[in-house]
Amino acid sequence: MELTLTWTIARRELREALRNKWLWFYALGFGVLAFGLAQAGMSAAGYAGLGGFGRTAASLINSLLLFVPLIGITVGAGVIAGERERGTLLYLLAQPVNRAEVFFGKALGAALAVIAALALGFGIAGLGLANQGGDPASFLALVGFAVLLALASLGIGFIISALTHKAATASGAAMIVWLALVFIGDLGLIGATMAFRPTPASMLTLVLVNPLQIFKLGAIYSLRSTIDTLGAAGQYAMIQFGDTLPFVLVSLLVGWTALSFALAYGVFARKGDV
Amino acid sequence: MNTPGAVACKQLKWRVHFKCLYGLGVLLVWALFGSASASAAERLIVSPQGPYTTIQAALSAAQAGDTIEVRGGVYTGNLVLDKSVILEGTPGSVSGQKPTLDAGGRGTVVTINAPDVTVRGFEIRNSGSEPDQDHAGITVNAPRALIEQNRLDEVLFGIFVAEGPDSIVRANDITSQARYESGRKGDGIRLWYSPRVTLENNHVHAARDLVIWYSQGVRIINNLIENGRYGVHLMYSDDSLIANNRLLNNSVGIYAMYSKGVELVDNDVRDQRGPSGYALGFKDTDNVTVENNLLVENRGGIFLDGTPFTPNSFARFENNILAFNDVAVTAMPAVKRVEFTNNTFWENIEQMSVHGGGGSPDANTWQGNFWSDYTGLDADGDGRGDTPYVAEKLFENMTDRMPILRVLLYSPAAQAIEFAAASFPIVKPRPKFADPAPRLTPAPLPATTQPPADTRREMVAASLMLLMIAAGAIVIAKRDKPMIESDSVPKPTAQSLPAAHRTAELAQAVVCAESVGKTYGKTRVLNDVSFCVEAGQALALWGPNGAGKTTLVKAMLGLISFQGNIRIKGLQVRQQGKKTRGFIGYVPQLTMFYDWSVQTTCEFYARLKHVPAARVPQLLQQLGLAPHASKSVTALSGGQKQRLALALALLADPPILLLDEPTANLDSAARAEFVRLVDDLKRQGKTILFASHRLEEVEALADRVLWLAENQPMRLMDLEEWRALVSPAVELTLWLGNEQRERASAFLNAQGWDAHLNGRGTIVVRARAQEKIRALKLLEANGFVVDDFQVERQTEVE
Repeated sequence: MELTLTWTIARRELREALRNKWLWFYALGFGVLAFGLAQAGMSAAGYAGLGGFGRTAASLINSLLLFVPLIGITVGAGVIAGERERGTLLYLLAQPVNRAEVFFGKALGAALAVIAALALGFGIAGLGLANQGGDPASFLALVGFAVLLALASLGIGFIISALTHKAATASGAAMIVWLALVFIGDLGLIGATMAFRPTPASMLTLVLVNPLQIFKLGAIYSLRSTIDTLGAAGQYAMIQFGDTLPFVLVSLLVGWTALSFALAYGVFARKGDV
Repeated sequence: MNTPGAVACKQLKWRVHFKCLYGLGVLLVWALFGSASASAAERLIVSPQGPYTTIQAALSAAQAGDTIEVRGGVYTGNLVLDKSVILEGTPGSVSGQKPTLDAGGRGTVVTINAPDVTVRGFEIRNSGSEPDQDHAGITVNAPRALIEQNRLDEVLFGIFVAEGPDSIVRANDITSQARYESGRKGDGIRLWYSPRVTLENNHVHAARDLVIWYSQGVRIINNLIENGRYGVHLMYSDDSLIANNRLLNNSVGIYAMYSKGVELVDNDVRDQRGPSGYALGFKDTDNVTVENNLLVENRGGIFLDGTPFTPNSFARFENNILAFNDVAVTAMPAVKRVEFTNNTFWENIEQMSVHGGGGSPDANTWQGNFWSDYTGLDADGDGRGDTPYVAEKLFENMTDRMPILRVLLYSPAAQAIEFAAASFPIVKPRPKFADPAPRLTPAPLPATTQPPADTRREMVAASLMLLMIAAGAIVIAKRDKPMIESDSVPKPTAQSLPAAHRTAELAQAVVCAESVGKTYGKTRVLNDVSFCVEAGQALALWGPNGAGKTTLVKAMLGLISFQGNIRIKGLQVRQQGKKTRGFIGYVPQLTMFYDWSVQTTCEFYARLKHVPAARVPQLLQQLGLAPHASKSVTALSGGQKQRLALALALLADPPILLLDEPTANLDSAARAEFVRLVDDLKRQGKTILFASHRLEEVEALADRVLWLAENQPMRLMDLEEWRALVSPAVELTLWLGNEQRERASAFLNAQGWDAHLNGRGTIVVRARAQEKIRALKLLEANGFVVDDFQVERQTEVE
């Protein structure tokens, strides 16, 4: 694999992705939302001194859980399927490049675009928070977890994209997968919990299957250095992993990212016909 | 003269003198003995230099009420104070440190067995640590002890007041043995059957509990208690006052059980986050008053179990601030008659939980509290909400019943459940309680609350860094120059050199296909296709739509899987697709470009082919696209687009051109221009494979033709054979006189023609189009007179 070719394709993909108005819509929407939440949460007179983790921070995490995977999955789903539908993928692959260079170039470009969008959103939100104080280390750790979630979601989007031939199909599938990750999986988990009453260890394991929940745990840890607020499963995680918990969570999200991109590449490379 | 009067007078004087003498005697005795006793309360000095070098020696010499002053130094052993003395440590003149009492890891360091003892100003350390013994820094077994300004470290228990009523424990710094986890440590302070004890201004940290058992009227004031298990554990201890204490990061804050008359005022309780980390807990406790406390970031703010316990008793919570707790108030379902008035509930994840679910919403009184999640209005401006605050959240109810579900807090799924509950009354949960007129402004924070650190600069820096990352990505995307400079790009290979320099290489350029087959689903598109094209030759791929021409092109580019082998310049396409594509310039029927300018498009593909950018203007000039370099590709005409595609194909000056119906969408002029360009390239020695429907293109360019047809074997032929095949068959109808008709038909058949009489007085001859004149000439030459003729085309060429 020639890195120069990968980088050339990555730049093209980045340029293409940055022209996607939806990406900026998501980024600015998230930024404005986070800014508003920060303002609303911190502005009550006198209470900034307590600086705690409450419903406002929870709302921020909720928004992130909705927005970040949406950005990742929809951008990822459009990358290959869209080019395949337009015919540009065939022409690109007819050049003296191999599929790995094309795939990873596209992945790199899309990842940079998503990171740029998140950086913009968080940058705006951060400026809003700055006026009220706040812990920059926690804030940047939260950004880091959001970026990892976006990359894992992007990988999932790439799997969808590699499997589909039309952009519209890919977008539809992306929304279904997003819904499954955001709502359906957790609702299923609630039902299963009420039926089977799992132990804290089992519950934690089930929760960590979902990259969104991994991110959520990481986000809470970033903001308050513990996840014991999440009840027995959170306490179990703290006892089991202690200070290494953020590294465990980062590893899981990195694993999700690597696995999803590897699967997507497997589909893209083995799906012989363009 | 001894008159009765004088005698009486003498007697009186004597009595006066006697009384005076008696008084003087008493004074003398007082002076002798009283002053002697005052001199016994002197200070006995203990120091390494003497007069006493051990505390025990001084203690043996001391009388009740004496002060034993210990100056610096380390004094080992277990000290037992069985006299009412003041034991006072003063810093050593050399070291400047407090004197140390060290038990060497055995037993209790100081045991007080006499009343009214004071121990002040010592470093007390190294008690025993056996878990079944109450080894302590100081154990008080007598009333009215005063323990102050000591530092206790590495002791199992700190100060153990066992039956020491009216004692005072003040301004001590106490920690337990660091090597043990909290359950194995001893208590920082333990009171046992010790009424009216005062604990004030102490700092208890990293010990187990602060335990008050069976001790009435205890006052716990202004202490800092942190990093322990139970901050204060009150049991069977009535009439206690706990005020102005700070409790930080303990497992549990203040927990009162089986007591009556407990008053908690102005305490600051934060970060109590043990498994049952309540800031304040009450079990079976009566007459509870909790006012002006600040309860922040605890797992639970207040826990109530059986409180108030007896009828006619009360539990009142007033003017407290509960902020950022996981659950502000947790109550067992049976709890009732608790009054919550004017409290501030700020940003708690859950405001109230009924443990295990259930309970009655009317069991307790909620009046005029502030709720940060209250959404009602105050239309009449009285500072109270016009609608009640009602705690009714479905997911909260679920977590109350099944706490393990708390792991899904903050999830959109939990939000969805709440949304569903709010939208559909059928799933609306039962309210846990209602505050009929909530306050709309929170209580002000205590003045002692620390303002947050000013991190504005750091936050702005972090935010700007993120914005710079976003800007950096945009710059990277917009840059025209490659980020990797041309020096690091592989140098142009022979492919990118002008054709004149590559004669030897061109001579080897061949394409060979062996038994190539391709099936889409159940449809066989290509079947056993084999051919070879030598360098400089042009092969036309000919056949109707669906014959597999484009499939074959894709196979040669390695874009699809296929059976058989295709070799480009000796390399297998399947294994070395990237290299073989490097030998090919490809022009599709309709090239789909990215939405860039002509120049940018060329530069992008030039980078992919490792071609220097300088080649781009040269090619654009050559193909007549130079004036359009800055145009968007979408603004180009069809012919210009195909010329651009040809330019891209020629970027690396490849030996092979693979053209897939490149003129299919062009008008005749553009088509002719394109064919001319390709013809020029053929003359320069390029090997050309092209798919086409057009006879004139094949005629103009091809040396050989590969004929493909659906469900038929391929045919590889020269141009003559192809011409014969593509020329249309005709039916030639001839009118001849009656006398000649039969003879003429027989003659033609004899000469190898396909002729017959059709029964309508004419002869029908089937022939290739180009042979029809020859039939007429042949008849004429042999004496037949053809009166008339008609030509009908029999078949169409695809």
